[in-house]
Amino acid sequence: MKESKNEKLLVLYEAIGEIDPHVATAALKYKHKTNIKSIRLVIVLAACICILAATLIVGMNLALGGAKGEDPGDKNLAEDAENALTEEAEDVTLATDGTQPEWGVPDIKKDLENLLNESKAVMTAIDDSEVDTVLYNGRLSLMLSDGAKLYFKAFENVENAEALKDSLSVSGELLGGAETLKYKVWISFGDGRVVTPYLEYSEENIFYGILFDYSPKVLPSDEFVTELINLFENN
Amino acid sequence: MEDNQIVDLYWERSERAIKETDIKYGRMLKSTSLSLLSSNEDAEECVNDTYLAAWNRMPEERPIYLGVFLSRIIRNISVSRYRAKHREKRGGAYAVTAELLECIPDKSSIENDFDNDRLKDALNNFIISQSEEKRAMFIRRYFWSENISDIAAAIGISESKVKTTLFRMRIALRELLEKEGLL
Repeated sequence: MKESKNEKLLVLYEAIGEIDPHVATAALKYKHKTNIKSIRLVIVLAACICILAATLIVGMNLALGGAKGEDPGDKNLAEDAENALTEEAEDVTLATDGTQPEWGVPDIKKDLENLLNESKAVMTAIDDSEVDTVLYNGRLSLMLSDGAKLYFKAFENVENAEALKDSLSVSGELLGGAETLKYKVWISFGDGRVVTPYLEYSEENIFYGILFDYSPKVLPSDEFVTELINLFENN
Repeated sequence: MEDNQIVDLYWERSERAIKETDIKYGRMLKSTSLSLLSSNEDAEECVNDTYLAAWNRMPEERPIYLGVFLSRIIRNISVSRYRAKHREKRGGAYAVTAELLECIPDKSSIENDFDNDRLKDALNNFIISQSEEKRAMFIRRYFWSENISDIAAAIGISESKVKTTLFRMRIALRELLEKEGLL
């Protein structure tokens, strides 16, 4: 049995030696080839998916943008803020009469809080690392912190920035107040300059660390709130 | 050096022909012999005998494929040596070629019908019917007697793929031989 197997082995050994010389030589030249057709197919499919995705994204943005433009919420925001200011004036009158608002804090602060709270919906949440980018984005921007997140919204109307600056200059002194403001607000001029509701703008009052050196026990001035409303209204 | 240049050296009866042949094909020839013979010493002797045979057969012959030409010579020499040794001492190892034995199981009923020529034809047909990549692996392994890692590196695929492919090819060859009635 073993002898027979060995004989078969020799036959196989010889048989392999008899294969076509051309085939035997060609085998040495073969290199693994990547299937170009498959790669092309993958590229074409990937391109199709990208185009489809881009189309969907653009379409969704257009749809959302259109819807936002028609959203009465934005217009109502300004109206609400205006009404709030009117109501605040009434409250001030009440305060003069000795009646304290039921929440125990100045109305103007609450109005501002309401305004800013609603504003968050149209603002972009940013990471701490993106703050400097906003400071130098070349556009007037509102930056807002609700204690948890930081938001920003860029405004097109640069003229209002000057008005805002003036409003701050008017109320250049620190505005007193006993309550801690939930929101912290800054206006960035896009060139590194930043103003806060209670400080005049300063070339040095920039960058993230300094920005957050913000006194929480300060009320916004009327002018600031008015200009802030203008910014939202005009943008 | 190109094959035709080496053949020219043989035709010129230049001893450099042997040196160049050894540089280009020495390793392959030894592996081919070792795939049948278990002895390193025997394989080296077979290689030297091959060079001598090539020297004697040229210039009468002018091989186009020098590697194949030498491979056939060393196979014949190795088989002769194997038979001679086998007569002296039963048994022996046969390394690479033994892998293919699984294609030919012991079946006493068909042993008498074992047809060497038909086996050679079937083997050739099997090789030709394979894809270029599979064919390259099979021939490199069983004709040129290259080891798995060398095959993988030369072709540009993983060793495991070479092993798996060769394993499947041996099964396929066995099925073919059974179908051809050679088993």
